[in-house]
Amino acid sequence: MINILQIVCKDHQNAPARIKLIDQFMVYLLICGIAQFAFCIVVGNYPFNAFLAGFGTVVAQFVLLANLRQQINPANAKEFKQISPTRAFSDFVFGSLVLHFLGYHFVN
Amino acid sequence: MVSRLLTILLALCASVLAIPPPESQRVLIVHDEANSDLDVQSLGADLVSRGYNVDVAQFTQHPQLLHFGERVYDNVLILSGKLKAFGKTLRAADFLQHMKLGGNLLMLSTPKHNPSTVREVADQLGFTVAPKGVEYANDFNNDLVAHQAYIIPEASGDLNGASVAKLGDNELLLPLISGAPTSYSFNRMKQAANTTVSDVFALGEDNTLAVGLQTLSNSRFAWIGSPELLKGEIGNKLTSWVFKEMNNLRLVKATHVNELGESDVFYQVNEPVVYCAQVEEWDPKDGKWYAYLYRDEIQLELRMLDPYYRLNLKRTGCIAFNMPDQYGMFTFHLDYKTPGFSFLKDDQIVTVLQRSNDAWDRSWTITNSWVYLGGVTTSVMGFMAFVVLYLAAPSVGTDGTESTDGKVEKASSQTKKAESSSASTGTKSEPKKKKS
Repeated sequence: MINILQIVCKDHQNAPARIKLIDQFMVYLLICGIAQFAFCIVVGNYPFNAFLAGFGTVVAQFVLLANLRQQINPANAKEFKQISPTRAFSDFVFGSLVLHFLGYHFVN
Repeated sequence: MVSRLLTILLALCASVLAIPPPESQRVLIVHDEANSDLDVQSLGADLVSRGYNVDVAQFTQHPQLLHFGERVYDNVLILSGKLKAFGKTLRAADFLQHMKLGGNLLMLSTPKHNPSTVREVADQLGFTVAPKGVEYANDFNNDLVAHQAYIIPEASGDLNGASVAKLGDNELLLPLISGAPTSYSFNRMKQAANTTVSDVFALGEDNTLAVGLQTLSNSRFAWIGSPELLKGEIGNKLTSWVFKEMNNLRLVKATHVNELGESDVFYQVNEPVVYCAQVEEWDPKDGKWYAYLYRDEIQLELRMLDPYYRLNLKRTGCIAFNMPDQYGMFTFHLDYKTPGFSFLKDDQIVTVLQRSNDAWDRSWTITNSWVYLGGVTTSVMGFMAFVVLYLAAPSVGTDGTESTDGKVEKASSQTKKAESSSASTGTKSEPKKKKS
C-alpha cells in the first residue's frame, strides 16, 4: 500500500506540468467526493437526487480527468496514436460540459 | 267489556313505550276467520295505539300489496288460515316484491294452518317450514333458546303444538327463537303408533320457532310458528323489530375532507384526510332520530381493488388518517352489517394523485442538499480553473509523444517540469481557492 503511494508520488513528481495539474485536480475531487459521501452516511441521504448529482458529478469528473491523463501521457503514446493531446483535451472539455449540464439538472 | 278495557289500557302503555318511524306506519293485517287462535281486533287496536295506520282484511277480499309497481303498505302481517293459497294478489312473488321495495313482512303459520304460499316464501328466503301437521314438542320443560340479544334477548313459554322451521344456509337468516335441546318435532297425527327417529322433522335447537331476516334493502321479515309469539313481551319485541321501531339505523351522510376542510377535491398521496359517517338510530320512545351509540364499531375500508386500510370509526363517527403512498382511484367503503340492525352501505370514489413535479421542495430549500449543491458547483468551478490553467501550462511536448525512446521522453518531461514551475505553483494554490 505504502509502496504504491510512493510510486504514485514519484510518478507525480516526475510528471510534466499539465499532468501534475491533472493530479492535483483529481486529489481535490477525491476530497470533495469523500466529504459528500461521509456527509451522506452521517446525516442521511434525504435529497437523494441531490446526493447522486453531487457525488456523481465529482466521480464522473474524476473519471474524465483520468481518461485525459492517460491519453496525454507520453508513456501511453503507443496506445493512443490516433488521438492527439489536443483532441484528448477537447474530448475532455466536451464530456465535462455534458456532465455539468446533467449534474445541474439532476441536483434540482 | 273487561277485555276491551284491558286492550285500551295495554294500548295506552304501548303508546308510551314506542313510536314507529314515519316511513313505517301503514300496516295491513290479513287474516282468515278460521284463524281463531288470535284476537285480530285487539292486535289491530294495539298497533293503532302504537301509532300505526292499520287496515284489516280477509284473504277472500284479495288485498293489494302493490299498486302500479308501488308498495301500498309498509308492514304486512299475514295470519294464515285454512286457505291453502292466498289468491292472485298475495302470491309469493308479490310478497318478495313487497320486500324488495323496502316493505316489511311478518308471517304466521301453524301446523293446522299451513298454506303453501308461506312455505314458498320461506323456500325463497332459504329456510324450510315444516309440512302440515308437524308439531313442536318438548316433554321436559318450557325452555326456549333466544339467539338475537339485540332483538329478543330471552324467551320461554309452552309452545307445544307450534310449527317449526329448519334454516338453510342463507347468511342473512337470523334464528330468533329455537326450541330447547330436549325438544323435537314430528307429525303427531300420522305417526302416533310407531314413531321412529327418522320420522322426526328436527331435533333440539334445529327447531326454529321464530325466524328473522333482513334483506340487503333493509326490509325486515319474520316468520313465526305460533300465535303465542305475537303476544306479550316477545310479540311486542317481534313486531317492533319487524316494523322497524327497533334497531333501525340510517346513514344521514358520509363525508370526507382534506386538511383544509375541502371535499370534492383530488387527494394527494400521504395527504391527511378526515372521514365522518353520521349514523342515526330511531328512538321509539322519543320518536326521534338520535346519534347511534355504537354497540359494535363501524368500520371504514379504503380500497382500490384491495383494502388498503381497515379502520374503526371513533365514537364521534369520524376517523382521521393519511392517504396511502399510492395514487389511483380509491373508494371510501362503509359496509356495516350487524345482525339485527339495519345495514349501512356507502361507497365514495375519490382520486388520489401523486405529487406533481413542482409540488416537491427545491433542493436549495433543503439545507442537507447544500452540501451536494456545493459538490456540483465546486467541480464546475474547479473544471473552469483547470481549463484555464491547463491551457496556460506548457504542453506535454510533441517530441515526447513522437519519440519512442523512453529516455528522450523522460528528459523532455524533466525540461518541461522546469519550464512549468510557475504554472505548477499556480495549480497548487487552486484547490485552496475553491474551498474558500
